[in-house]
Order: sequence, then C-alpha cells, then structure tokens
Amino acid sequence: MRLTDSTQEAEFRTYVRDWLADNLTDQWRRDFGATEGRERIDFLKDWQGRLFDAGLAVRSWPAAFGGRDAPLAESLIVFEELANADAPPDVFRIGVRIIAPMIMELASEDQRTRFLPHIAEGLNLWSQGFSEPDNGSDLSALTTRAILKNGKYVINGQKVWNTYGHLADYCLLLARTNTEAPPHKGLTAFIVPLSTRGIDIRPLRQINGQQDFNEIFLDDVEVAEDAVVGEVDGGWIVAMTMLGFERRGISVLGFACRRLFQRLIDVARVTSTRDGKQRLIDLPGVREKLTSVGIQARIAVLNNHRFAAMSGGKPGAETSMQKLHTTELNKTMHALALDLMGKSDLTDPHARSQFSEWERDYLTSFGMTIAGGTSQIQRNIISERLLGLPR
Amino acid sequence: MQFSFTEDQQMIRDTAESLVARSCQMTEVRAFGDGQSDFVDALWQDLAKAGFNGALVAESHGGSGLGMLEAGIALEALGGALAPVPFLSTTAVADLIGRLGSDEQKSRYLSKIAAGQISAAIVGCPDPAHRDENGALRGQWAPVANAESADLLLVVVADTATGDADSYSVNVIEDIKDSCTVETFDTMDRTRRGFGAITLTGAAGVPLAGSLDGDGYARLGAILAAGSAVEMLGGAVQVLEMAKTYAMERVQFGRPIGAFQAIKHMLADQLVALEGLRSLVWAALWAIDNAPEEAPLAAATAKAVADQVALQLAGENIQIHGGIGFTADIDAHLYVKRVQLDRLVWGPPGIHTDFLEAHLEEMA
Ligand SMILES: Cc1cc2nc3c(=O)[nH]c(=O)nc-3n(C[C@H](O)[C@H](O)[C@H](O)COP(=O)(O)OP(=O)(O)OC[C@H]3O[C@@H](n4cnc5c(N)ncnc54)[C@H](O)[C@@H]3O)c2cc1C
Repeated sequence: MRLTDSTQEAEFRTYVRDWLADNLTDQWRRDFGATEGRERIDFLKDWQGRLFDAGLAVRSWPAAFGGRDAPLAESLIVFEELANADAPPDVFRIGVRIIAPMIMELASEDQRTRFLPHIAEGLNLWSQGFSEPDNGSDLSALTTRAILKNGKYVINGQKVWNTYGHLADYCLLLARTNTEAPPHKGLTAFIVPLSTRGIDIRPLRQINGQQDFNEIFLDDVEVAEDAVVGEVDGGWIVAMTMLGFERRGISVLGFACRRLFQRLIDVARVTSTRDGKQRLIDLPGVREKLTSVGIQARIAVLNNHRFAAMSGGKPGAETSMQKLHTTELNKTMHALALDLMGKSDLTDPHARSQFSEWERDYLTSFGMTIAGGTSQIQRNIISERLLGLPR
Repeated sequence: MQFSFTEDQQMIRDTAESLVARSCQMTEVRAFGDGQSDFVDALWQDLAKAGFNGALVAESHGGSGLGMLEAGIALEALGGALAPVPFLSTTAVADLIGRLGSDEQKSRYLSKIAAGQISAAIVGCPDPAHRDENGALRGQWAPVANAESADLLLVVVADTATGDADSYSVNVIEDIKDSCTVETFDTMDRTRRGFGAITLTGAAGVPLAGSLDGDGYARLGAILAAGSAVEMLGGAVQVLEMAKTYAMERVQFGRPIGAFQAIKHMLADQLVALEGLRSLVWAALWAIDNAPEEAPLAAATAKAVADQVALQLAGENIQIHGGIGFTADIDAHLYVKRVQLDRLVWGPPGIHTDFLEAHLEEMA
C-alpha cells in the first residue's frame, strides 16, 4: 500500500500542474467565458488539442491510438489536477471516456484507426443516443428501428436527452434490428455521422438554463453496414460496456467534490452573516455540515484510487457505487452552497456576485443523479451484481 | 498511489482470517459471554504465535516489527469474529513502551507482550490524568476496556509542571488492584467482559523513561481511533454478509425478501457506506505508519464514520431479520451491543466529529 505519489508520479504531477498553470491563464478563462454555442465547442476543441499535444488528453490509452501507454494512476493524476485547477468542462468526455474505450474493446480494426485518433485529439465531438421518450431506465425496450435494405441500414425513431448532439459530429446510436428476439438481444449499435440526411436535432431547455441535451428525430436515416459496432444484434454488450466506462468516468467527479469542498470552506471563511457580526465558518451548524461533506469528499477521492487499483483497468459493477456516491454527494454539496449563500448578507452586491453561478451549479447537480442510470438504477445494480440479490 | 495490499500484506491478512476463523468460533464467543468458557487464552496464544501481539514490538524484543497496518489487519478479523481479546489496548501499550521505555522497561514487558503472556489496559487518552496540589495522581475513567484482567495498566498523565500543554508522562502500574479502584462495569456487550470503572487512588506506578510530546500523544490517539475503527469495520463486514444471506433465504409473498426493492436499496446503501468506511480505515492505518502528520485527522475521520456506519449496519441487520432478529438466538444483537461499546470506550460518542469540526480548515 502506498497512498502517496511515487517519485515518478510526483514528477508527472508537477509537470501537469506547471502545464496547467501556464495554459489555464486568466486571459484564457476570460476568453472562454465569453464564448457560447458552437464557438464554445471550437474553443474547447482547441483546448483538447493542447491537452493532447501535452500528452494529457488520453494518457493511459495505447500509443497506437494516440495515448502514452501510461498506467491508470497517471490518468487519475491528470483528473485530480484538472479538478484542482478548475479546468473547463470536459465536453469530450463522452467520446474520450465512454465511446473510445468501448471502441478499443469491441469495434473493428478499421473503426479503431478511423475514429480513435480524432477522438483523442479533440477533432471530433461525440454524443450518445440511447434514451428514448418511452424508454429510459428500461433501455432494452427501446423502439428506434434499423432495417437492412439493399446493403444499407435505414433508421427510424426518436432519441432524447442526447447530450451535445446539436454540436457533435457523431452519435453512437442504439437501435432495434431484431423484433423477434428478447428485448436486449435484438439491439445493434451504430456510428452515425450527425450530418446524415434525415436527422433532425432539437435542443431542449434544461433547468439550469443551458441547452446541452437534445431530441433527435430519425426519419429514414441511411447508414452503411460498416456503421455497425460490434455484432449485429449485439448492441446490448456495446451499451453495457459504455455504461461501465460512463460510470467510472462520472466518478472523477469525486475529485471535483474535493475541490468544491475547498471552495465551500473559502466561501464560509470570507462570508459574513446577515447581521455582519460573524463569518459563516464560525457558525457551529455550518461547521458541522461542512465537516460532513468534507468526510464524504475524502471518501470519494480515496474510493477512486482504491477502485482503480482493484479493477485492473476494466470497470466492473463497483463503478455503480462510485457513481451513486459522488453524484449524490455533489448534489448535497451544492445544496449546502446555496444554504451558505442564503445565510450571507445578500443586500451586499459583492456577496451577491456569485449567487447566480452557485444557483446554476446547484441546478446542474440534479442531472448527474439521473444521467448514466439513475441513483435508483445504481442501487439495483449494486444489490444484484455486487451483493447477488435476486432481480 | 497504490491503494491495495501488497502480496505480503495479503498473506498476513489470509493468516489472520484463518487463524481467527479457527480459534474464535461464534459458539465459543457466546459461551464466553455466558461465563462458561475461558477460551480467550487459546486465541491469544495463537495470535501471539503468528506474531500479531508483537506487531508494534521491535524484533530485538521478540516482536515482529510490523506496523499499525498489520495490527489493523488482525483487528479487522477480530472485530468480525467479535473476539473477546484485548488486542487494541495491548498493542497501543506495546507501542508506548517501545517508544518511551528505558532498556530495562522494554526488556521487562515487550517480549512478554509479544509472547502473549500478558495483556494491558490503557487510560488517559483522551482525558489524561493530572496531579493534584499535593502531587498525587488523579483521574477516573469508565468504561475501560480490559480493566478487570489486565496485567499492566498504562496511565497517560498531563505534565502541567512543565507548563507545556503538549507534554505528558506515562506511568506503568503493575499492581493495578492496589493502586486504583477497579469497579466492575457491566455492559450489554457480553463479547467483552471485563470493562471497568477505574479511579486512581494516589499511588501510580513507575513512569516510562521518556515523556510523551504532542506528536506522541497524537499518535496514541490515532492508534486507538483507527484501531477501533478497523475492528468496527470487521464487524460491519460480517453484519452485511449476514443481512445479505438472510435476504436471499427468507421468503415472503412468494419471493426472497432480497427481491424487494426496499431491502435491496437498503443493502446497496449499506455497501456504499461500508466501502467508504473501508477506504478511510486503511488510509488512516497507512498514515500512522507512513505519514504521521496526516494520521490524527485520518484516524479521527475513520472513527467518526465507523461510529456511524457500523451502528447503522448492525441496527438495520436486526430490521432485515424481522422477529428472529429480536431474539438472542441469532448473532445480530451481539454486533449492535459491541458497536455501542466501541462507540464510547475510546472516548465519548461524537468526540471524533467534534475534533474534525474543530480542524475543519485542515480537512480541505
Ligand atoms: C443531464 C442528462 C444528460 C443525459 N445525457 C444523455 C445522453 O447523452 N444520451 C442518452 O442516451 N441519455 C442521456 N440522458 C438520459 C438518461 O440516461 C435517462 O434520463 C435516465 O436513464 C433515466 O431515464 P428516464 O429519464 O426515462 O427516466 P425513467 O426511467 O422514466 O425513470 C423515472 C424515475 O423512475 C425511477 N425508476 C425507473 N425504473 C426503476 C426501477 N427499475 N427501480 C426503481 N426505480 C426506477 C427512476 O430512478 C426515476 O426516478 C441524460 C440525462 C440527463 C439528466
């Protein structure tokens, strides 16, 4: 057991820190803050390209696909330092952390060489088309149809909650190819360029005021046979593999929770109560709540390291515990942030200046206990797959 | 980071688990609780032979020169089996004597501890003894683990004379019954008879040669907190196993109760809580051996969470068992009783959370 960096890891951490300090400048943050929509994505594509050039974007991927063959521990260092540096949102996570690892495992050689390097460098943005209006948690019941006609698959149906679809280049889409087989044995996964004819993408307004996720309508969308990933009718394994990586990916939120804890302490330190007589940090009730989330943030960070050492690369059902724990904690912490804001003197414009940002982040935190399988679904998985309870 | 056991540590773990499974069976624990068995000694001897009693004793004194992590490995197994042995207090005492004792004091005690010939109790951390205006030692504690059968009692004494708040001396008392009053303190935890209320009556044994500074006192506190936490972790692991097994066997409404989501989700949340506790506990034990500056906070965190999670799991285990859970026939109640004592024997419940709240800024 070694709960500290090895010499090599410490060197690498210093490199990452220095690199981030040099590249995440105040000017960069201001420029980024001023962007919106597609411009924002282009800005982030450039950022992802720089991370890639610095050897940080896909550290533990095989060199053949643009990685550095580094152990998972180094990827964790990258994520820790990105969180500590308040790095911009990782819009490439769906491609980099969910779809690409699945492609490495299940896709053809041709697909690997075609798609992986572009994902790594941030040249292509990817999205995930699983959920449908009538089938969310019960994913295997989905009804979007793909029918093989004259050497092409013709896809019809509707997807929803598709994150970044309106800005993305590709969608990893799950559709039904076999209506005779049991629900989860009749699905196939397709790589669909979102510029394909017949695709209509409509952004949805989220509770946090952003428009990240979309409805997608598919009307006789044609894709070639080589758009299939994995086996025909073998889409379920593709989906399950992606969900495993997705839940592990979401658990890096644990590092963000540690950073959030530091920020909450900072807020409580500098913020006065309404009567101006005390700092929030001196209120026993505030200290109690901060302590409680601080403990859980420590757990989230330690769990990330322990489970990484345990699983030896491939995510298993333990990622459901990480996903459940960190997303629920993230929600609790953001609710606490609003409590802190509420206790402060909001007649003071300075105290108010960060209020709406905390409000937005609070609202955003609700999405994460739903996306990637709801907390209830994670509890089902934990009880069935880790504890072996009957379905 | 490499947050996993090394091969050596894994072997030690296997040894501890099979030793405890062999020498500490539940039937014997129950017989002991009913006052019908004194098998403790056999288990104690086996632990000593495997080198666990001397985990924190140098090899030159007959110990195995391991660390708190390895001692913790034994404690996890002992906690899981509800073992009635005073392993933690004896280990903490061995550590103090090894650090502060003169050569003579070390020779006198350490090899006996390592060989399983004696056991020890400790008081004064928290709440060190003090000297009254006449120089007599004063202090009282309850409940004290192993008070009734310890061969050796260590008393941590605040050194007010030096004017330094962070200076302590440690006194060794051999003739416990003559130097203090020890009153039987009956508790619901029958897996560990021999809790006592101890009051110093003036005489106070012989001080260890060296004095204990603030760091040393913090180390002692961390050993007791993390040691107790890992023992509680062991219990919690067994409790979840018990609840899970029952949930698969017990059929109501034509289905195993483990198919009902109310039960499933309760157990899923338990596992998440347990895994979190596991991370905290091993991190704290590791810190005691390798990062002493982090150990006090890490150990207090582990113990604060153990106090809450181990109790939650033990209590919900009774609920999941229904009526049979309320009988003394099955083991569920033993774990609740043990946890409740674990929560107060090394300091009042809440003391670790209070400590963390006081050191909140350092947690960030
Ligand atoms: C921010 C965000 C981003 C998303 N991004 C994407 C994306 O990029 N691509 C994509 O395909 N999808 C995406 N989703 C969709 C997400 O995966 C689904 O919303 C989720 O799986 C739940 O499905 P649902 O919305 O249909 O809710 P439902 O399945 O209808 O669930 C409603 C409620 O019932 C509960 N419930 C359902 N089944 C059970 C059960 N068996 N046991 C207990 N409780 C149950 C749920 O927990 C929930 O509380 C995103 C969602 C969010 C919020």
